[in-house]
Amino acid sequence: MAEGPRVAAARNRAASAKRALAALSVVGFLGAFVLVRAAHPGAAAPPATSNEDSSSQSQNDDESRGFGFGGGSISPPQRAVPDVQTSTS
Amino acid sequence: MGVQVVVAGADDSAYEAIEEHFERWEQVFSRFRADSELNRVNASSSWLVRVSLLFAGTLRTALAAASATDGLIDPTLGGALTAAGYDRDFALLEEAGAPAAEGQPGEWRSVRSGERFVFRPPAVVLDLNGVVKSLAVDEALNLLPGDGFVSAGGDIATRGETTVGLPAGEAVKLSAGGLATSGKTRRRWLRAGQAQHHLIDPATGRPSTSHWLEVTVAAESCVAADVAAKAAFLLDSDGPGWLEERGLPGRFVAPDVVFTNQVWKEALAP
Repeated sequence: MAEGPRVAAARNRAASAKRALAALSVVGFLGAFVLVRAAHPGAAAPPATSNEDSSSQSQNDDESRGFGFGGGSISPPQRAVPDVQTSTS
Repeated sequence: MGVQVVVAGADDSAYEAIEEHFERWEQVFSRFRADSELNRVNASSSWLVRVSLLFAGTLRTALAAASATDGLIDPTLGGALTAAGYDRDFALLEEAGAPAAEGQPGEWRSVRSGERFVFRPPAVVLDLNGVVKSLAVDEALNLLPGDGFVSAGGDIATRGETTVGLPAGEAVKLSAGGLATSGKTRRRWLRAGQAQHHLIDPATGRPSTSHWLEVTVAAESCVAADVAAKAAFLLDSDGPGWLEERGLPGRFVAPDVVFTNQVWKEALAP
């Protein structure tokens, strides 16, 4: 049986919808990937010039500082016998 | 993790929770459990691997540590460690006549971690043990109902005063945060008569030639102390100054001397 014009139009609409979905999937993946890169402390920073956005460099530095070494709270011991021993494990 | 865990200040439920906590981390990050998540990721031939929140978060901490230390603490040295001969649980390591294989330098800048994904070249072998044990200690401390401490293999996190015995004698009082020791006095083995150890120089992919035996550092957390101790060890004679610049107290044990940096001296001054 020959396809009528309405069936052919429906097939075209379905094909277009599939193409749109595929494109959306790619955009979604790339979007996630860009976010991953931007969140990474080792992401290569662009050369800092007055005309360029230096946000990547700032983020790099922020995350490096964000590791938070801080200072240790040590003082002379008040007991001769330790509670616990530190050593190479 | 093949280390002894010591806990103080835990009631029964906290003790049980801490036991489960370490077991879970071991299951995720062990290099020697065939079914660990780490080994699943390393075995994948894909550049992009879906991982657990725990794995991804720990990898981000490892990458932040790499960034903060200019790559000294590198989570991509799993292949180099295996090349040096550390290819099974340490208790099972035996002396071998064959020399250690050539190690691969670190490639941490090639790795990315999102919330649930890891992106890395498939040839990169991840090993997160530069931060895993000490990070697990920090998180275990949060399971205590009040003051106390958690120690795993000598990496310590405390809430409240704890007296800590140091390598080669002496002790300090640790009031908060963490204290950790890294070095080459344990986890040593031989390949063709050459001593190997687990602290890999990321520039060469070979065990570090640092002359320090052990380095102890106190910091605001156990993982920070651990990362700083490893970095100071790897920096060899530049280690004390590197800690000094960051306001971190450090104690260095060499074969014939125990050396403390200025921050350590000031903290322990009467």
